[in-house]
Amino acid sequence: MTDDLISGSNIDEPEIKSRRGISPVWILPLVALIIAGWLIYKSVVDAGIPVVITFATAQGIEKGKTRVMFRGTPVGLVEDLVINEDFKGVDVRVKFVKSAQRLLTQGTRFWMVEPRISAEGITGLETILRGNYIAMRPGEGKETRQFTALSEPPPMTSTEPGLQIQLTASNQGSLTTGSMVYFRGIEVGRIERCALGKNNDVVIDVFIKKEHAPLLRKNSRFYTVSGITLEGGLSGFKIQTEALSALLKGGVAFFTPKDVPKGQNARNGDTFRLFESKDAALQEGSMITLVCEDGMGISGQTLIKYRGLEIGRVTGVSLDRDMIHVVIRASIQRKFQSLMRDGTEFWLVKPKLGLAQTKNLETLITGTYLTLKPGTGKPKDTFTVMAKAPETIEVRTGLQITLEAERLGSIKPNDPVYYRQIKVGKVTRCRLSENATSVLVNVDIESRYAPLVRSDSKFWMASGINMRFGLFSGAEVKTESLEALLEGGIAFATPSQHSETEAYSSNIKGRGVELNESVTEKRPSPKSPQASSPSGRPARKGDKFVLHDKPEDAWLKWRPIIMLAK
Amino acid sequence: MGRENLLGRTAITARQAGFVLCQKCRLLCDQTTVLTNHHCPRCGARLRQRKFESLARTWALLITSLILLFPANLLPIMTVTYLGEKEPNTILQGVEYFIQSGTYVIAFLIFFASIIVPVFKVAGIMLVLLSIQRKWKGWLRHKTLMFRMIRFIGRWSMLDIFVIALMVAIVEFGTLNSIHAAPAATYFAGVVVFTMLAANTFDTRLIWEETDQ
Repeated sequence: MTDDLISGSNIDEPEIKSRRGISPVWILPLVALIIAGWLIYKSVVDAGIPVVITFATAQGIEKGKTRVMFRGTPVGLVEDLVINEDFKGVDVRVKFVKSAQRLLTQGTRFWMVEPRISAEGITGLETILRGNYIAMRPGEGKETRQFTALSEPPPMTSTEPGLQIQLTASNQGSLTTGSMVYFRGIEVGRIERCALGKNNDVVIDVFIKKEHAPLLRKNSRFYTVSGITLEGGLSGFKIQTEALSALLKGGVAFFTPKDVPKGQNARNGDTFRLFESKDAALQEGSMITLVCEDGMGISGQTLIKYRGLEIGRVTGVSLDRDMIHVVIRASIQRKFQSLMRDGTEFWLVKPKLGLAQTKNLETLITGTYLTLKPGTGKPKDTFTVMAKAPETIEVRTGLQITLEAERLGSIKPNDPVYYRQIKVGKVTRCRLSENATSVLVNVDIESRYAPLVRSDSKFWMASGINMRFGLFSGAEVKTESLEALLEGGIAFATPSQHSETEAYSSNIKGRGVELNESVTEKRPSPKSPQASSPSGRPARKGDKFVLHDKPEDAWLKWRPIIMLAK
Repeated sequence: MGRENLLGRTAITARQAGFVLCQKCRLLCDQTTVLTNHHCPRCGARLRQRKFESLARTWALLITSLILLFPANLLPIMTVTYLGEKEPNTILQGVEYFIQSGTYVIAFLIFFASIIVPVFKVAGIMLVLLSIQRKWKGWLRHKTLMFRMIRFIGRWSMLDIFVIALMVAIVEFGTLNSIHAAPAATYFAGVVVFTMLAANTFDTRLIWEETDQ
């Protein structure tokens, strides 16, 4: 610092103070450092999670633009697109926000959301303006960074509370994603996906809304309700449609059978069978095999009835391997399964038209059906179909008695038994006695009318026409009812005490239609025409009576007081 | 001694002549005044032979702008909202966009003004500072020239910020299309301001000081 130009100056050497200390200016870089440090820290904390999602095609995915959305919130951004090494897909590199870390597990599914117009509506409309996006559905499992995208949206709603179940069907039919699930006509869920299953059957993912989930039981049955059901029969026509939307989109419905002990609530992942129709669903039950000599017009729609009620349905008819027998597959509703036992006999009910008998006329229209007589043996599932109904099909709990006649006449099983022209029972079986000297006719008297039969009762064949000619009395024709005339039958009468007979002035009350019968007739016993209690003891089960060819006149006039059973 | 070395007989520095320039009113004061009074006799400002703490302050400001340079370039400088879709862009992404769209001139301009210039300024000042402290005696004239350039460019460096401000004001159609300044704009402005301040606090005479003596 010495300055030799200013010579002669009397200035003292300046006192040099060294000033040590940090300039406050250094606060500035410090602040900058703090800001930068904070930014770095934030970027580290918020640093995205790099994830690779493999797509079959990257159509509509844009680098730096396409987002991954979760519940409408962007959680990731596509950073780069790289074609696979084997050219079989596109690796989409996505950076996820840190908070999405726990969503990235093995079960997580990704798929593209594109605008889509279909029967169930227009979806993904927002993508038209904002571009396609990748949707995700978090799943379970370990965290991972490698995913393979689905080619189509998965069942959408595992996040929505409700029940996820599966149906298996043989055919997708008109069901599509978005088809509804109905319960008594009310929408309770929807179909989310239809796909081919492992066994080439159609697996349908179904979602049931939470509030309706308790309706679904383990034993519930699903059936397709697409379109219109038309049913016709003697009783009239029935047209059934589900909601209009079901008509358009198809749908499934379910019901829960009541018969079984209340089933448990269905749980997520349960699998149900989808039946083609409600009938088929109702029919659902065990399969049985019937073998017969002749197809006899049995088809896939032939019903199996028991006492007039439908209990099952034939599902298929085919020949056996030897081409000798016809094999019929039929399904029996579960609640009637107990009828399928050793000893159960099946036969086909066909219309029968004839002078003597017209039967089963309804089968002309409703078709023939199979019926059965249940056996009592062990359960089994293979039966032989008999050519005709077995002789005895009655298991009724009436009074069973046996009549003995010299010959059968026109009596045959099911012929009526009359008491004062009222049908009170029927013939159940006709057979030869063991030593072939007579014919035994088994008769079943309805329990209500059982007291009418007493040990002294007389039985006679009511079939045919009785004609008598007399010079003075003119011609006399006696018949039972017209039905008895055509079909034949058995009539009986029970005498009053003291074996007396009574005459009546009115032929309405008399036994049988008496044409030209004289009003005044001789009475075997001069007693007032007052009814009295019947004679003999009450008939017991298995009692034997003689079956006369024709009644004696007196029998027709018996009129004991007998209280009918209730 | 110094004059013989470099300036020769034709020129001497004020300091060599025993004078101190008042930095406020530019009055040339005798060194004696400085030593007795320490203040300018005319304007009363404190007299200093060189700018106060010039090197340290310049360093501090320079380092500040150097630090800010990073967020300015790495963070998005503006957000373009197009049809509701927000798209943040860094400076480099903007350059990239213009290259891809084929307007290389604009791409170059942006790249030059927003990246080359700030980096050049910071690096230039740093070089000058280092050459003083390390007593590197070469290229002194070039360094001075460079420093002058840095000071000159300084006022234009805010251009980027002006452009953004202008676009934010002009492009404003709600969610349809709008532009907003993003964080990097602040840091970028910070870089510009602190480099200008650094250039200002630097006393150019320090460049020659070593060689003068």
